[in-house]
Amino acid sequence: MRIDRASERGNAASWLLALLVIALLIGGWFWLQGKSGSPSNGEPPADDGPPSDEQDGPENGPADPDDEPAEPPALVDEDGRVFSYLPVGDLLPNSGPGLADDTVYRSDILFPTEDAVYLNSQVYRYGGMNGALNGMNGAQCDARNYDYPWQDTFCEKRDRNQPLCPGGGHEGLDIRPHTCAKNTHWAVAVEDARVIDVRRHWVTLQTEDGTLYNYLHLKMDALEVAEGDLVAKGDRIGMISDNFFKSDGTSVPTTTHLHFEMYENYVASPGDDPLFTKVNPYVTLVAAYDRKLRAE
Amino acid sequence: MGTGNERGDVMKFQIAGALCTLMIAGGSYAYAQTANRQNADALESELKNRALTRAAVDPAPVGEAAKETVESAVNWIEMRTALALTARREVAAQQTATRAVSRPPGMRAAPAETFKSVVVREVNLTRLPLLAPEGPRVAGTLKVYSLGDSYSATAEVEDGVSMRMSGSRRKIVVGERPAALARMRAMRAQEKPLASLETPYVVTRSDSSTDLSFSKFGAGYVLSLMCDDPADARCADDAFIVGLASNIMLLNPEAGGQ
Repeated sequence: MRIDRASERGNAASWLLALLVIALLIGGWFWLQGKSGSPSNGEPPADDGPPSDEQDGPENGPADPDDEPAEPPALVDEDGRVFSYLPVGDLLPNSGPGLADDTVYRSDILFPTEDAVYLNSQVYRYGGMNGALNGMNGAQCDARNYDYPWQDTFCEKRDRNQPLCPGGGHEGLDIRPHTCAKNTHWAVAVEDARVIDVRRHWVTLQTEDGTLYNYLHLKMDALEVAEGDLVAKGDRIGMISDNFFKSDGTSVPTTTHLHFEMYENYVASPGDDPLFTKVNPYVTLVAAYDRKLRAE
Repeated sequence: MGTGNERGDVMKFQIAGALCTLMIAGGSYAYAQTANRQNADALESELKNRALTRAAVDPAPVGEAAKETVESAVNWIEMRTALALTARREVAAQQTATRAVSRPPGMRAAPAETFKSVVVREVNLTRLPLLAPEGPRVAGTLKVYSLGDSYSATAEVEDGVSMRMSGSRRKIVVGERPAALARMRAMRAQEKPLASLETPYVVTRSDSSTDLSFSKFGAGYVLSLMCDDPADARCADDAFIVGLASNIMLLNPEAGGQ
């Protein structure tokens, strides 16, 4: 019996050893696969500033004389990074139909932030509740959220059907500030306007010709403006934050970003009855950012 | 002894089984993570490849600029006619009414002086009919900010619901481009009649507000409702916002002269 027990113990130990070796081999294989498949393996670092330019995508390096024809130099931001953007209406997969409206509604507005920014999804990218749909698991401060290209989020799917966004529901654009640090980067008035509403987590401006601009998720207890104020183009409104309140003051969690909306009273021809609705500001903001980067 | 051995064997098999399960689960998780990362990296790479850039020198224009902003001629006569029409409807309702008959929809004069939070100067500055919805909480909290050719009126409506009503007599002409026309047609196709002002309206909704838009008297208007929870029936269904728009106050009934 002793021999039998010893033999049984030996067999069990052999089994366990074999299983451990197999587990280590499989784990090692997956580790190697992950390492070779992803340049940013593991938990992505928090954004401490703009990522390096030495990444995929448009570059602005010196032209190779052998390349014909030479690419003209591209517009860069304050960090020397090439500004790039996806076409209007080109949303992330699984995030809705988009609305391809290439109208520049306001040709002379200022961009609504002081610093370089990144327009992309708060919901379908790293740190968003639906990020996993595109494999974008991670945190909101993932450096890949703080990079070009910009991507449209107007009509991003939010489970509320309405005529402007069939199957969609996000009638604004989400703008990540220059870094993931909240209460640091400023939102500014895009035009001379009046502050007509300051409530919960939004500040609304209106211009003489009726255009409405909604700035959401600023740091509401440290605004630079008050209801009724007249603001000049470029005046600071507040710091980009993650404020989101119910009317009783209850806080609702959201990411650090500026949600920007624009309403226009518009027609196709001068004699038509107008529609006064939200419009897609994406191309208007691309044009405004272009002017900002050129310091126009 | 034999029973002890059997127990020991069962335990060993259980441990081995648990280890196998853990190993498979761990492997599956690791595989899923790797696959996710690879999918995300491939997607990021594809987005960068498809992205557009702007030339640093002599850039092409971005998009298509709206053509111009034009000012509408406000139809003040139509405004007074609408007031008179509502008054006639009310008289008719009173003459035929039983208690079950509700107040008819319409637009009624409500001079600015009657609202404690409204600055009369703001109302007098406004060069278009200044409309706002009725309601007991609205009347007590209504504020008006005017920019002359445009205005906004804001108020609390009920617990958890606030509103903003904006109007403008200036309109942006975006032109007859196919994308703009298709969008406008899609919205027009959703229009329904608004009994209070005898004009078509369209409702749109998003995370931040539910909006009812219409044009009347030559101007454009949008009534926005902001609910604490967008899924609140008062914002998620049309009935509440249409009900609000069915009884409209005119704060500057004397505007426009004679």
